[in-house]
Amino acid sequence: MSRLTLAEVRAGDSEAFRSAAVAWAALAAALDAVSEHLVTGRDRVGAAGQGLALAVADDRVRTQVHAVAGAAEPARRIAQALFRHADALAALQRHLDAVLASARSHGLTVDLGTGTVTATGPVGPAPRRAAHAIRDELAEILAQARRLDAATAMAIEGAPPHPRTAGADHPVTDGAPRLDRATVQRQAGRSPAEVAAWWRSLSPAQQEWARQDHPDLIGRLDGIPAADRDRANRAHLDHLVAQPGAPAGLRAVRDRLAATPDAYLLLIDGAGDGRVAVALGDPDHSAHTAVFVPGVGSDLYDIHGEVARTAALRRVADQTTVAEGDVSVVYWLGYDPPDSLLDGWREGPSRDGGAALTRFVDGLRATHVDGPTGGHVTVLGYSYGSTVAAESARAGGLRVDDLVVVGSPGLHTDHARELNLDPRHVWVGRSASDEIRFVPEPIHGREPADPGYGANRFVTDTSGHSGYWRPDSASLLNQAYIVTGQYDRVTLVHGQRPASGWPA
Amino acid sequence: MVLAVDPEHLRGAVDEVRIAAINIDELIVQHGFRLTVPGQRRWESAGRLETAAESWRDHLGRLATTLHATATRLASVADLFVAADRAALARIRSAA
Repeated sequence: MSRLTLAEVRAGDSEAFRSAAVAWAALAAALDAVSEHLVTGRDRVGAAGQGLALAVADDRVRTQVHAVAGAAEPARRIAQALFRHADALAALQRHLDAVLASARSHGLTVDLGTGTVTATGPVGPAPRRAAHAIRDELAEILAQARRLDAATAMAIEGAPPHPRTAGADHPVTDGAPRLDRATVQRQAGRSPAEVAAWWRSLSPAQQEWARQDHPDLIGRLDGIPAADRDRANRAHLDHLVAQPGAPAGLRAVRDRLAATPDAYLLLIDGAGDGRVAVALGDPDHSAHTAVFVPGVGSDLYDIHGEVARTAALRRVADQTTVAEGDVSVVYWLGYDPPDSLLDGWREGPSRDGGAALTRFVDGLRATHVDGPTGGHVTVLGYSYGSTVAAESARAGGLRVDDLVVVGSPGLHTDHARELNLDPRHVWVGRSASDEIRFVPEPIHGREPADPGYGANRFVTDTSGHSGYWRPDSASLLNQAYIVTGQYDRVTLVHGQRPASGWPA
Repeated sequence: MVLAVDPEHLRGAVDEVRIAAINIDELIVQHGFRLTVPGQRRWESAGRLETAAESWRDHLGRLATTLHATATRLASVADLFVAADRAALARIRSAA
């Protein structure tokens, strides 16, 4: 167990951890590039002809492709753990400085070696109470730092260069049986809450086996914790990218992940136009989670722009709250959107997507560390994505605290109450010049930005259909206030804001 | 079994495997000393990182050695196929 003192927490070099994180991320990316050479090499062996020697050569190079590609994934995990460590350490140091300043203002002295708090002059009841409070805060900071240190150490320990070459060929066995594929496949037919209970019932070795043996199944199961899905999906993504003829969109996702700290890959599927979900920040530990649902024409190639948009919302939302890192924003392309606005009238994709979204949100609820109602969850539907959110809500299964739609062509309803949510928690953003207003009402239902629809319309100061996330805009800031439950700070065009908010 | 071999493809594979091996050699030099957090020894995570980086350097070193050996073997296999073909040709000619 970590034996850090407050003095060492204060002297900790978060930038050194960040630099190391960058180096590990670069190492992972470089290993990806190396494995591509080997994949080409293997293809050349395959093209060289037939014969026993070539078959063995092919097998040899294939093994080496796996060895190199397999090393990239744990390097990325170490990078991710170090980025998290650097961010959290910097936040703890800021907190510590604030507490020390408070101590000074009360005439108190803190010994950072022992954590003791003493008064420099005569002690009355008020300074005594302040001293107790400061001592408690310091103890909590130290405990958090030690937990952080232990968690990072464990993450590093758990990421050897190759899972199958690190000392043992298998996870440490604990006597529990290894899971067969059929058992894991059956979980897809259960509710996310049941899946979460099943996962918790497994031993650590069984969970490790499941991640290693069936990453494609584990990664997509709603009800599995984000960190476990991330590990399974990254391994699955590496495998998919290494296949001949792998869609270039998968490489785009891999490249984006390599360049994005604190990202969790919650879904990856290269079939068709592809499906992907990336969370920025761990949704299982965040106080506020927003799920961003994109609109027509979205596919894997869009990952760079969409994650940048997601990051912008997260950054601004996080800046509006007291604690750092308590907001997670998920980019969720878990459905097959129509390819263009001309196909946007089709309700099939929004209905199918709505069902998938319901399940995804249930999964977030099921795995949150504070229980199913512990976190504040918002779904943010953009353009056609708003119809997906609406279909989920209309069916009565969308377990969110707030629903935000921007650039919506309509929500397949005539009034906000048909969404089975308190209309005060349904929020609409619509810029005056958004071209989506030209979509005729009969196609997707009544214009949700109309006062008669019954939702809250918040102020937007951006133009067009895709400007809602412009930095320093009221459009973005209002979304940030909603996803962090700071309803009294949202500026409204019309509507009625909820009476109380969430702790910011 | 049908035996049909294009040694040029095999040499192309040799080039790719060799590039991979050299790249890993360079990775070790380039990243080897930036993977740790010097001066943070009181942090357990920094100590683990030190150990992990050492183990990764060893692993990558072994990987590079294996890849160099594979490239060399593939190159000699290509040479052997060419030599065997020439030997067979010489045998046919001498028989005629």
